[in-house]
Amino acid sequence: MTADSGKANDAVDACFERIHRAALVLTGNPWDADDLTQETFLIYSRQADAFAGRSSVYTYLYGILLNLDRRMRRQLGVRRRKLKVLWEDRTAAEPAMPAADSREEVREWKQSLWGHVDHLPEAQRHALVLRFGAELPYEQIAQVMDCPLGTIKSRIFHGLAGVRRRLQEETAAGPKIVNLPTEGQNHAI
Amino acid sequence: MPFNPRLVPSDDEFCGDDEQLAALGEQLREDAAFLANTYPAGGKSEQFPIAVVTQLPGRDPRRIAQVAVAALLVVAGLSLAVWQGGRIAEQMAGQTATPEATIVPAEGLIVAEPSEPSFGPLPPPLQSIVRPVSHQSLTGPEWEAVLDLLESDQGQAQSISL
Repeated sequence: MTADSGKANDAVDACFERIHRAALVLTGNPWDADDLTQETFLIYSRQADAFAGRSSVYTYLYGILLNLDRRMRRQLGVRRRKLKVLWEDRTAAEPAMPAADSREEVREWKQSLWGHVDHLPEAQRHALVLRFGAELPYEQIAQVMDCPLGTIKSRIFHGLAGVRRRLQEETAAGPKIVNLPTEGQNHAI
Repeated sequence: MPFNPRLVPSDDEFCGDDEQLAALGEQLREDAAFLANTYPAGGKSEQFPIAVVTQLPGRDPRRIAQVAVAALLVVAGLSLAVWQGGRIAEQMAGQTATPEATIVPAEGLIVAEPSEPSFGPLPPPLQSIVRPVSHQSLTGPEWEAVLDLLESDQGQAQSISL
């Protein structure tokens, strides 16, 4: 085993669960989270030499994760636009299979507050994921996102305000209880 | 309009009017923990083939350059072969397109000597008398005369080669 693989192995052992947790709240489903986590470590293992050690392995891995998420969403956006064009040309017909969104795993995520976070701008979403999903301190978030500390605080503040606004709009539109099955708490404030 | 910016609290926890936001943050934290407990990492970290991955050959720029040069050479070779093939086909087409009625003078004809006699081997008594004669330098009328002589002297002339 080489020194690189040894270093990468240590990183996998130490960070796998935490990176997977952040990937889970980012993507909203376990299978995409698995892919994203493994791809993060794959890239890290190939770039282990490039990691200069100026930051911790955590922040380096979270940086890779956010870049991959950005790329995945861009690709997904292109695919959705293409599908939209195809869908408009297609006559209305009953789908043969239930949509992927109707799966239980995705429904749970959508019912959680992270489903609302998903609609926020990318910078706010990433800041919230790192703060409340990965539980990183502000300084490390600033390091990962390569921003001043004040910008990170502002993004988190406005991100939370955006989630609150969405909840208020949802409450005004109709009574919809948003809670997870085991929590028994109403998220609407 | 007076400049009245809204200051973001510097502490980690929100306070005062932003208690709602602090509660939202706490709820996000709980939801993330719930999701992570419900759907733990599918592939265990021990199963992640990191040692195999690090030993895989990476994208070496020199290797990429070698492949690119080899691909260029193959393309150039194929282009050359196609071009040469086209030229040869044109030449062959030009040869077959020559008029069929081209008259070649009899003097220009090359008469090849056959490797074997046309009428079979001579009987042993005649072999010492009759010798093969070459008529390559004859003209057309002379050929006619020779053929006439052969016809009239069938019993004597045993072979002729053209």
